[in-house]
Amino acid sequence: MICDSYKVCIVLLSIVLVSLPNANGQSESNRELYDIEGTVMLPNLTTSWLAETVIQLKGGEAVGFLRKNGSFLISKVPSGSYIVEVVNPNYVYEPIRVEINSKGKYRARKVNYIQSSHVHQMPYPLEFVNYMPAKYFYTREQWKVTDFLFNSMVLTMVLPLLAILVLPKLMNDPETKKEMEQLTNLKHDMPEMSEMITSFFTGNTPTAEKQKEKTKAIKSSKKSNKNN
Amino acid sequence: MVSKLIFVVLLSSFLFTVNGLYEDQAGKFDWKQNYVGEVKFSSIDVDVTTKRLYVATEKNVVASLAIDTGDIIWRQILEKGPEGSVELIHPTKSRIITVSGVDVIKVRGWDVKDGYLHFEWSTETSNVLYLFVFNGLLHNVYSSNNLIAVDTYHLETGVKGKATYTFPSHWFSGSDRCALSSGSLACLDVAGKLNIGLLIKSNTDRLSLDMIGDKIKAIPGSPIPAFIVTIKNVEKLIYVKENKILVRSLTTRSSSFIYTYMADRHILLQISSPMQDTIVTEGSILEDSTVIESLSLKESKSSLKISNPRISSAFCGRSKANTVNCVALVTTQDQSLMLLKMPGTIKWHREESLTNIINVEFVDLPVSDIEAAIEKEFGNKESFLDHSVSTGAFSMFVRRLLSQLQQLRTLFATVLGIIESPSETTGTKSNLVRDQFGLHKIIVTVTSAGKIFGIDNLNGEILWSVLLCGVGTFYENKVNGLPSAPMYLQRNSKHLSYSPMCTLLLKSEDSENTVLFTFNPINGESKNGVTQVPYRVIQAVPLPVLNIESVRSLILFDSSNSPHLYPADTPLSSKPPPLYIYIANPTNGLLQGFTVNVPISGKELSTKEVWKTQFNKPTQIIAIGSRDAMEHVHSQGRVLSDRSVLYKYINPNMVAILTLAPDTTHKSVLTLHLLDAVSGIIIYSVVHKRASHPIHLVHSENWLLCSYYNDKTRRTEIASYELYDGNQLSNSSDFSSVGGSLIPPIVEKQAYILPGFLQAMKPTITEKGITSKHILMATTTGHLLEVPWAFLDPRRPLGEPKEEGAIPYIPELPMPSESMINYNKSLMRVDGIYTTPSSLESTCLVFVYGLDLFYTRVAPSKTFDVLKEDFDYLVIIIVTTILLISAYVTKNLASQKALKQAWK
Repeated sequence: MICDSYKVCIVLLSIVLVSLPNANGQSESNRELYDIEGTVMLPNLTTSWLAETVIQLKGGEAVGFLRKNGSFLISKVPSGSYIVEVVNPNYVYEPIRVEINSKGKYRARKVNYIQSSHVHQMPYPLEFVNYMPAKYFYTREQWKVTDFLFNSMVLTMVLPLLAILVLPKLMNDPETKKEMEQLTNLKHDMPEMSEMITSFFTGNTPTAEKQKEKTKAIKSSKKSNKNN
Repeated sequence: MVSKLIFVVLLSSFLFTVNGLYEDQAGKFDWKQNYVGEVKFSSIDVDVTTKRLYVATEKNVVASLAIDTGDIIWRQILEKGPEGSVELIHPTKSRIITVSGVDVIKVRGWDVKDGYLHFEWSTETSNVLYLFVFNGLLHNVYSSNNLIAVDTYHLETGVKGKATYTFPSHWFSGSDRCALSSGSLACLDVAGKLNIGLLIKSNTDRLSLDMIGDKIKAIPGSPIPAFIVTIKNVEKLIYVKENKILVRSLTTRSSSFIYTYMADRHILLQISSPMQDTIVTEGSILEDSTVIESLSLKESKSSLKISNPRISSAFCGRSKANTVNCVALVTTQDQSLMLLKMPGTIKWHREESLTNIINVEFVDLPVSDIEAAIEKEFGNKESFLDHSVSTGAFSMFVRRLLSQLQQLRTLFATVLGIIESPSETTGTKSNLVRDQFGLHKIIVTVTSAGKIFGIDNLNGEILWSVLLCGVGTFYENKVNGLPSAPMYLQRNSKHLSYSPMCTLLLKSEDSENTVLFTFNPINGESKNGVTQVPYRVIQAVPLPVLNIESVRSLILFDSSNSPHLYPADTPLSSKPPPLYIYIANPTNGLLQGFTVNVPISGKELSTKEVWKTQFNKPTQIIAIGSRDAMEHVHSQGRVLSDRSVLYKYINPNMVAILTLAPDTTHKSVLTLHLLDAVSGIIIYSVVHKRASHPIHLVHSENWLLCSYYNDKTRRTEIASYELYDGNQLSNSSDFSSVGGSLIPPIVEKQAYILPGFLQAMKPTITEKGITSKHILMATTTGHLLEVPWAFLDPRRPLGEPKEEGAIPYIPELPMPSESMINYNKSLMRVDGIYTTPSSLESTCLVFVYGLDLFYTRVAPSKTFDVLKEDFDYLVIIIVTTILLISAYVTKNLASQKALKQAWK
């Protein structure tokens, strides 16, 4: 067992030893420098626009500038993985990650900081197509009548006010008065609760109904008497 | 899941309404000044219609300025550091060509009108000695295999020329004994000869002259080979004409410039400044030394401060009156840039040294004369210790009458519109007084060019400037290699009978000892303000008590660890408590803690070493973060969802130490140590593997933020730490580092991803600490981002939020464009952010410096203590008047009705 583990150790060591000079060799061949090319779609092709847009590589380690046709070149960068950003004061572009391997192969992909292993390939030479104007400011709320009217506070205040002011006015109308009277009459037509319960418990519902009608008649007569 | 997401979005959108601007607020309380940096090369456009000049600067900027005003027309920022350093500019008819870089030479052609790129090519080189352009070809002079070789490239296409000229290397006797001018290399050899050879063809004949010189330098931008040789402090001008070396002695010590006047005639312009406020120019014909009267002038201007002027480029013409007129672009040692019109005056002046600010301080303005009188009247003894106010009844009455008389006078003056003359006592402009909310201050900045500026924070106007030349130079900061200038505000403007006082620690010009420069930050005046001390100060700490002259004395620690007091020999107003001082030496990694006993007399200070920590060699201290001395923590704890309180661990003595060490498997390892500076105990340590520059550290209240670039995941990460005591308050009154329990604090930690790259980071600060904290971050894309600390809170819950207002953890920090408080005023090459509280609790003043200067103010919890500026005064007036009127009308109506009812 011990011997076995020793072997493993030795094997591992040898791998390390072998890989070390390799690593050194790689760092030397890293001196090979590459150019990154691409184009930027511009909202308008005025020349002042070209001048105020800069392409930054890894936060400004290398920069590229736009030519008249919107193309750019970031020259002489060593192999590696870089984030290429288009910097413009008024517009926002989506950054792209560019990977150049030690053999000089290019790969462009969408920037994904959270899942860096997730690859969403993009075309190379780079194309910055999607842009949107940067919205730096909030719009101020403006005073509008509708805003004021539909405010819940205002509604709770205004509606009862309406009810107080408008309803008595409606009462003056003779027809509505009549209707109202009818309504009140109807209210009195309602059966009395205690009677209903007693009739319910006594059991004979049909008689109870009759009774109800009777009482109603009596009541109404009583009422009319009272009114008189 | 979806609902949760929506909740998060809603919550974040709600939180982000806290900061940001409305469109009409843009430029209302912020300003930005654009600069280009110290001019290295320049060229004046010969075309009279365009009226431009082109500059390339030490800040790797190529820009075009208007000749009439000095305003920037366009500006392009090249790569940072040596990769982008401009080595040469060459103007052609429609392009301005720059050659930049060290190992990779990049040649770019810019449009003269708009500044966009026309062409770019690059080539790899090494051991470059000189670069020059001749005949449309870029010549690259380099040393290889004991030879001096010259490669040529076509300037616009980059096509390499056929021939490579080589010259024997014994020609070249070292870069300080050789100079290149207009394609000719001049070297002083050991045999006492000056040899001049042409490098544009492969001939080997050289011109030589017997001359023993100490130094040689080329005249910049000269059309003919011209050099200045210094021989024992005497300068001689040497130039080559028609294959002959001609020598002309220069009488005055001045900077020279040669301009082609006619085909065979050249004008020699010389400029000097014998005094700080005068500028002397002389013009003569180079060939026959005839003095041109119209170009010789002496100009004095008291507002100017000039040292060592140098003509960077010039343009001459003949006027109608048949005199020679010139315009010259002049740079000075203090990095200012001015356009001199000869004959005539200085047309404009730019302070380019403001691109190299190394220290900033905001100083409160003094109160106005009236308020000072009121203060004197009531004699507020607590804040105005220095007043011997008599308390007799009669004297108080007289004082009251006098102050009211003065108030009445100023009232009349303002009503009648009489503009006040500058206040006699302070000598400042009358509008330079403290306002009600403490928003008006003076920004005192120290620049690496050795110039101090006082800037009005409301409009960015330079109020005063002081040149430090002759006073002292700067020590070098061992961590970043930049000059350092520690500045201490020793007396603020609250003390009426004394003027405010600021002290700057400088290095003596001829030794390693320290010079203390004391000045008045309001007007820049300094009366016997230079103090030479016979030791080198390695640490300076302000005392917690004032001395009897209301000065906050400094304890100066010299290199042998003995303390001194500055100002010396002035007794203190009360005995200070025992002081603890720590010293960190980044070169040997040694950290030491001392205790200093200061007696009330201010004499015979004693010190004792308390603790010592050593970081061994490959580990390097890169940053030390301590809390802002002005900071207050308002809330002692944090209420949790179960109504219990989690108390904050607020240790005023805690400092954060960041070290970086190279590692075989992890490339580099970043370690954060939290150290108690009194006891020397390391409270907490944490390691970040594969972390590299740019690294920024923020330490405030009971939390820390550390941003670094993670090499493994290739993104910028911000690690957030928060320290808590637990559910019980361990110290109810004052924190004690030595007494009390040694239970380590609870450390909450979390890391966030910043989708971008940071240039600088700083928390906001307010007077009482009630307002919530925001972090200001300057990104490389030129934005100044205001991020609420709640987003960086390490207690952001991973699952369902339990605490009120807690935002669930999302690894990536949001960067909404609304929170970019500098909107489209991009800030490139930010060196630092300075924040200071105003007298309003809600408002924090922000100053960002770097290539551009930007000032704004932020209100992290909105302006809760003042009315919003969009407050509708009209509506409130209308509503109250209507209410008043209606109240009266209804009152009348009601009384009428009551009367009628009574009659019924």
